[in-house]
Amino acid sequence: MVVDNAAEGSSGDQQKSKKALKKEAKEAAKSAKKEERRQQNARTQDEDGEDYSTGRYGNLPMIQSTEHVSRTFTPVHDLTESLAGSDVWVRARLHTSRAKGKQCFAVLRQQAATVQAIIAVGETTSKAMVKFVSNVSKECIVDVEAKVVQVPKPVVGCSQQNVELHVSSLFVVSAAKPQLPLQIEDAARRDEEEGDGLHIRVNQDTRLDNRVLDLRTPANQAIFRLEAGVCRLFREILQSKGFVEIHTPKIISAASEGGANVFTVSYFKGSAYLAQSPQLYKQMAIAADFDRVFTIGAVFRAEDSNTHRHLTEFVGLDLEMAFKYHYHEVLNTIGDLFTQLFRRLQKEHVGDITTVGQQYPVDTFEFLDPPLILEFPAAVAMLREAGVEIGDEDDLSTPDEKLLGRLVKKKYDTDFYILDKFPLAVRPFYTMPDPNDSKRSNSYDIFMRGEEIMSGAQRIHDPDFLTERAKLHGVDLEKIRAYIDAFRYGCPPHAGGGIGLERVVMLFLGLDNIRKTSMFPRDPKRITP
Amino acid sequence: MNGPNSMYKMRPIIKLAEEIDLPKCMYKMKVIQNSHCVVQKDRSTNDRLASAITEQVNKFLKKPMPEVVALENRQEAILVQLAQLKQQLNNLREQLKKPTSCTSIKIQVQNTYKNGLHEEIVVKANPKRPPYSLLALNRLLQNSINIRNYVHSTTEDLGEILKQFNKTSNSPLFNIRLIWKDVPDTEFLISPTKHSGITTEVNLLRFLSRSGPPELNYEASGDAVFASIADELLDTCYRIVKETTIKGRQIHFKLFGAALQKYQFLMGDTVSVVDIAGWSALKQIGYVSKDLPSNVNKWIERCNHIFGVNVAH
Repeated sequence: MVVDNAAEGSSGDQQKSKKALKKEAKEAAKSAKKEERRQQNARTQDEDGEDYSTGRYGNLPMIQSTEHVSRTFTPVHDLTESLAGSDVWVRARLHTSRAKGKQCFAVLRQQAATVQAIIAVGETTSKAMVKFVSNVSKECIVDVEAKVVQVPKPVVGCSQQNVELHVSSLFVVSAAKPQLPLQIEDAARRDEEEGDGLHIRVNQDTRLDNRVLDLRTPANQAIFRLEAGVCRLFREILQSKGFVEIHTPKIISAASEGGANVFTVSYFKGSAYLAQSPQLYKQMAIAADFDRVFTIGAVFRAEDSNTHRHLTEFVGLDLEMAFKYHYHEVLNTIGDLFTQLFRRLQKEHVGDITTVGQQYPVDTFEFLDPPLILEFPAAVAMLREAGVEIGDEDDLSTPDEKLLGRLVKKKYDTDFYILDKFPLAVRPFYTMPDPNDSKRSNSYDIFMRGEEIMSGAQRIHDPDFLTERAKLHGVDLEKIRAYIDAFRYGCPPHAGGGIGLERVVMLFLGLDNIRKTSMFPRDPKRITP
Repeated sequence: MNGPNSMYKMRPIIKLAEEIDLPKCMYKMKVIQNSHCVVQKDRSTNDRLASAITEQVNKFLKKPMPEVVALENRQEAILVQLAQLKQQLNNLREQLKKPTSCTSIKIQVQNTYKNGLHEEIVVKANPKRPPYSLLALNRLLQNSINIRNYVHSTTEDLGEILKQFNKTSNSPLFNIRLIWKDVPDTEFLISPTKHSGITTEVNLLRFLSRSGPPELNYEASGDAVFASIADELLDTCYRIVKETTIKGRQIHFKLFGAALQKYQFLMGDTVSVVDIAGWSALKQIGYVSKDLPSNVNKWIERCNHIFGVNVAH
């Protein structure tokens, strides 16, 4: 067949270079040799006598749902001493394998759980089977039938340390390419500066280019399970507080905040923008008497900032709430939301947190109940005492925020705190000014490990006052007409805020890069995969 | 007196022999002050000049100088002022020694607050050993302590304790943020940049008593012996909490008993910081009346009454 092809090629295209011809010839020779070797192999096997393990190993045909097989599979993390002596079926990935004479040691991995498996030549296992198993490449998905055996010494390096599997049959369900762009072991190696172990690391970009493989590491499995937990708890807690989940449009006609950092998309004959915050719609829902609303959805920011904590698309968890007389009603609700969230995460995701901690060693997240609320002037005083020069009406710079985070941690022993009463000058025009001090505002930032995660405020709900404030800020009234008009038919006083899911998970776990907590991160330099 | 320009020369006081016999066993060295040699050379001219100046000065000194008179007057005035100040200080000392009633504390409260102890004190306490002394102190200071409670994430819910410690004051003398955490000893900190944390409840009390009204400051009297006895008893309070056996504790109770033989309270006939510490320590260990000497039992009853907080232990 190869020869045929070559002939066709030469007749079809006279221009084919000598080099290409040579290459083709070489390939033909190679495949011929391969074929020969294969036949030889078959012959030697025949010489060895009949393979008595036939039917106990091999490559399964592609599963196309041809038949129902009622077979119970045991999850790897359930393989414990209690199952010792019983036969189980396991579908897992071949993590590593190592042949040693007449036996082959393998590690099977299923999500974060690993178990050692042994295939040894014996009554039912032939030499050929052991050879086959040792040639199965890493990351193949295999079906394994095996006996669970308790081991005298715990198996170091596996999550199931007290048992191992004595394999009686093994089938490859889905094969992986023998050469992997990154080794799962390298990608899962503990992040330590010191130590005697190997120092092979997988570059962040390599990880992201091969995200499917990278996500198979135990730490990544745990991170995204925890991320799902944050979303779930955010919903549960807010629903228990009487919030209603709403969905806001992502294609909008005008920029809701400022306008410099929005993505433009073509919209039929004109153009539209991608929403950079659901704020306007949350507020309209409040004006429409939904009382308390939250939304979870994608948010887009066209900021060309390549930092460890900025993404161009992220998941926003936003809430807005009407209050009776004081915006602290809202602030306390938000504070309680976070306290409950952290408490339940630490309780319900204890395994995930430890798993992540095994790869990225970091201190446990600490917080106070009720959350610590500091006023902005107090924070400025703390910073000044530490030698930072900062004006009364200045915003905090990123290094200042970090330093303040460390000071607060040292003094109050908490990684989570709320900073209240920001200077009015550094807040957007719709922020309600403080009634007692014209330089302050009813606005707050929330910090985790010294990094801002939420910025919120009491919004101005009076259209005339809002117009006045917008004029003062030099905002084009035409552009925000729709926003102001939303309050013309009466609107309860309200406040709210929004957090970025990825950032919260990153800071809760103490990771150093937001790309670690976004499954397929989008930043100014990456839109694939 | 009139600056360096118009200085007068003086005659040498000691006249040296022209030639000095130097012993031979010593090194010869160059004269260091070369200028001195120059002076010696034209001595004769200098001598004449000096004698003229001396005469002038002598004449001058015979008249009394107006500057000197002014200076003398000023000195007198200062001495009188100093004497007055000393008298005032003595008066103050006398006043402080007098026993004061609770009403006078209230006046002091405002003063201290103005003096600037509005900085926040962060106290970390173990819920198994609540610092009851804060409650007692608050009672003595007529609710002038602001306590805000926080539960640290490493600690479980506390229930009842929290409510007892929630204290708000309109004109707070101390602002305390109380963080409940599994710490081995009560800790407190004021500024993370200037100070390091200080441990134990008695040290917290010592600090508060110093920054609070002087009535509670056992060092204010200036009596070193009194202060050291108080310190010793405060340390005893700490040991009571740390001691794990009843027998060990009873040794310390006996010390209390001895202190209470003459007086109603540990440091005399008025309530002091030491009583607060002792009362809090006994509360924390959950004392049993039969383990205490009888006079200590009476004393704790008195304390319970004064501090008015019937804290279940």
